[in-house]
Amino acid sequence: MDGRDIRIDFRWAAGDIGLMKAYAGELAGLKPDVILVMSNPAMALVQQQTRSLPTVFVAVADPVGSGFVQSLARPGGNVTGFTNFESSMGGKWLEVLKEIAPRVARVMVLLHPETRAHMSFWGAAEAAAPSFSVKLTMAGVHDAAEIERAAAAFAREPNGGMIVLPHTVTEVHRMTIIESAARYRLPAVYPFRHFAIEGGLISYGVDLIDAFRGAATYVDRILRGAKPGELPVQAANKFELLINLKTARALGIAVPPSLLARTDEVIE
Amino acid sequence: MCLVLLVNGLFGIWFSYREQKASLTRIQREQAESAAGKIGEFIKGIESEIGWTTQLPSTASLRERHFDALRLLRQVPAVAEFAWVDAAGREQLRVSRVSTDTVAGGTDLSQEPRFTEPVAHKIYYGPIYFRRESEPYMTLALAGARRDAGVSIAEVNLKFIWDVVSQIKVGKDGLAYVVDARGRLIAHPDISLVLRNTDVSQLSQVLAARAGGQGMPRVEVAQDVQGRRVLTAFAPIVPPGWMVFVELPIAEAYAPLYASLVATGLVLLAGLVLTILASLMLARKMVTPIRVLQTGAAQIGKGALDHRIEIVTGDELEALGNQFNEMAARLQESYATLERKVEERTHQLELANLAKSRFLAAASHDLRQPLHALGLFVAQLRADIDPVERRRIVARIDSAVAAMNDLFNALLDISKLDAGVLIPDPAVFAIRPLLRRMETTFAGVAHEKGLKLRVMASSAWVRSDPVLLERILLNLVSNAVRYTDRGGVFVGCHRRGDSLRIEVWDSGIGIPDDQRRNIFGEFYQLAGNEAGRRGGLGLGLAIVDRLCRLLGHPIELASIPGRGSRFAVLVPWEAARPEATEPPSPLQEIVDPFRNKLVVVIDDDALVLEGIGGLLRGWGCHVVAGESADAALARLRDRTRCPDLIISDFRLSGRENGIEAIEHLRRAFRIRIPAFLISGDTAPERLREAAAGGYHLLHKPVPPITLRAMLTRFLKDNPVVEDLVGPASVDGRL
Repeated sequence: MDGRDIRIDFRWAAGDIGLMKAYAGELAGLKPDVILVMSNPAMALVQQQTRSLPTVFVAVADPVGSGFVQSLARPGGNVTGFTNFESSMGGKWLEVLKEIAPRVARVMVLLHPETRAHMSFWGAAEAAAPSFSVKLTMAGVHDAAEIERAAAAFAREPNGGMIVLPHTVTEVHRMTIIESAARYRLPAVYPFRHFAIEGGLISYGVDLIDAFRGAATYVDRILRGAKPGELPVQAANKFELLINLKTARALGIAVPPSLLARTDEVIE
Repeated sequence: MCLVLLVNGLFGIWFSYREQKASLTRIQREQAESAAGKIGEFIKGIESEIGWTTQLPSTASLRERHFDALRLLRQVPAVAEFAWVDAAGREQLRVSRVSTDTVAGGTDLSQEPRFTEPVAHKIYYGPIYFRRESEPYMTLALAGARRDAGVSIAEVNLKFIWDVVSQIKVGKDGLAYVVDARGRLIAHPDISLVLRNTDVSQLSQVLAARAGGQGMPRVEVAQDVQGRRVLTAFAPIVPPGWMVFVELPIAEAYAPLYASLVATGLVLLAGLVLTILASLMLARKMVTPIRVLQTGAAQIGKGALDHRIEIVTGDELEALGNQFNEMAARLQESYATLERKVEERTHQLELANLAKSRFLAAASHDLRQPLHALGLFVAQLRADIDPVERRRIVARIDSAVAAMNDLFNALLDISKLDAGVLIPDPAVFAIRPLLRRMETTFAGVAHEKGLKLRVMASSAWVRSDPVLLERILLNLVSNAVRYTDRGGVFVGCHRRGDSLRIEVWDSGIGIPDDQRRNIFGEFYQLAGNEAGRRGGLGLGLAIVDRLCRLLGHPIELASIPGRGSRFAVLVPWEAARPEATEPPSPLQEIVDPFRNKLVVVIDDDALVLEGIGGLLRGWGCHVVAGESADAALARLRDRTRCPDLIISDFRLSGRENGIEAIEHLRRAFRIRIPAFLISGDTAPERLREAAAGGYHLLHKPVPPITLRAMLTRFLKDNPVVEDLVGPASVDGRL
């Protein structure tokens, strides 16, 4: 029970890195028994604040590469959690985009340039790009304006498509992204289901709710005395494919039956 | 009680243990089997889904196969990657969830187990491996039915098995896990153990399960991966050769047992405490009153008879205490009674002593009077006086001697009665002669006093001692005459029931009510009457009282002061006998029996010897006298006869006493010669000694009449009347 058995304090920075930094300091100052962190930047900020408070992360990509843990099997320190995507997903998203919009020849990858994992995704996508005969364009963004600008610039040429990487920035400005995609008629693939539900063309990625559920079990075990350093970093395993048919129609895309057959949820 | 509790508790624990273990065994086995079933289904489901991909005709295009593979991935979330290898071992298709698919890659897998194994055995379960260091995966490969169907290879994420396993709840800390055929952990609720690729093949339960399979006991106690002691059960997952273990920490499994043990222990403890308390209370309840009883009894035993034991328990102990109290009360009471009796007796003794003193004073006074008179008369006789005066003085001397004689006789009677040596000799006889003698005895005295004496004749017979009864009546009539100055004395009797009531009436001074008890005391004389005037000694009624008591004859007294008195003696009445035997009388006139009898008299007083000897010779006896047995024997040598009677003084100056002297003579003549003793010593002891020796004792001075009566008894040819002191002397005659 909140207030009796456990107490929960939460901070929502809404993508504001400055705010996020302040909150990370506040939360570490509360000396909680465990800190739950979502996203790579938040994890990085919390780690700057404390190297001892047990911390569980969710929706973090490439924790080893980001320096959060020593290894996935034995994290070693005070941090463990659930990763969302392997870097190979960069190629997978490209494949999905190419499958729903075969005419796409140019793909803009919307990413946060300071996030290391995004570079991994980018690498995987770039490696796969020749086999799909597409040209990739990196679009590093930090706010809505940059997103708007990047989309407008990219859309000046035809046969464009877009891959949106999972990040607080893309999360917070998802409506800007979805609207820009619609405005500039860019078929786009998103990492989470809610993007498709809110008007994105297609989403392929892990179930975040499932990841949070897993994180909750880790928080529980830590509260019961388990050491975060001994809890392996787990991967999210439940992948979902959602297609928004309205958006598809608006873009003049006929979703191939082979793709529809694999779709977990179709938004009409 | 404790034992019963203990046994009960142990049985309870034992049954509880068995029940608990059996129940846990059942639950764990069921859970293991259920989990094995689920996992088996999971694996079979995957197998069957993969199986569909092998069913595609060999002519199917790679596009068709790709589509089919995507369908598989969609339907089976556990399959992270799927590949199809053609019959030649070339990978034609690779579909992944996280990376780009490859079609017609052509990688050569023909030498790899994931191709060779399913080709050989239709199905292949690869070893567990980990992707990204932490994700358990297994390669599951199936070969198609036809040789050209190729091989379908799926990479299965085994974390889904963990879902199944983690859903199994065994108790609070119990868990299930899955081990593969080689003893490696496949699934465990603590995924980290799986991710760390933990080898559990050396756990005893895993070894046992792998070695024995179905034959081994399904449940045993073992150590789990974390080193805890657990109750373990397993079930095989047949297709891949895996095993599901369900384990519950011993501590938890036996927690109810321990709880029961604790409860039993507590009950036992409580029982013990209760038992101890109960026994303490009981002991308190028992011991305390018993101690009170003990000390109380000791107190009473020490003589504190007023001590009372106070126990209020309401049980037998209280009753016992009350009994003790009653006993003490009775003891106290009887003690008090005894004290009172002792006091009374002491008082009586004091009174008796007083009476004795009074008696002695009176007796000495009564003796001194005649002695004094005798002294005067003897003095007068010394003077030369005329014969008339001399006769008068001699008559006076006779009178004084007679008075003294009477007194001594009476004292002797009292003495005899008090000594208890007088044994009544009851006989049945007619009362008439006795009454007649009363009349003749007192007629003269009565006439002298101008009294009218009337004795009514009676034909009644009674049972009594004739001598003693006569003495009673003599005393009563004598008293009546003595205390009556006018009117007369009447003696009569009549029958009342079984008794003859002999009454003596007088018209004398009477006896006041308050003196009726006293008159039976010694030397009692009614006030206002001087002894001299009445001429009595005051011993008469005392003798009467004693004799009546001795004979068992009730005596009654009715009297009106100034008008007269009536004494009545009740004697047992008897029917008249045909031949009237005249009872013997001390005054019987018999002379002839003494003639020529040889009597030996022994006394150390020559005067007595001379007096008695003269008297006996006067009665016609031959007398041999001596101061001792030897002296008498010396004189008897001259004679050839055996003595007929021995009369000896009790106290002799020689070495022998009277009894010994008699015995001496009897030995000399070798025959029990009749004998009796005389003595100047009136102490009751003498009488008893004599009685003990079987001798009659006469006290000095012995009046001639008494001596004669004794001679009559001892020398009569036919001794009908037994001697007062018993048969000894009578036997001696024989």
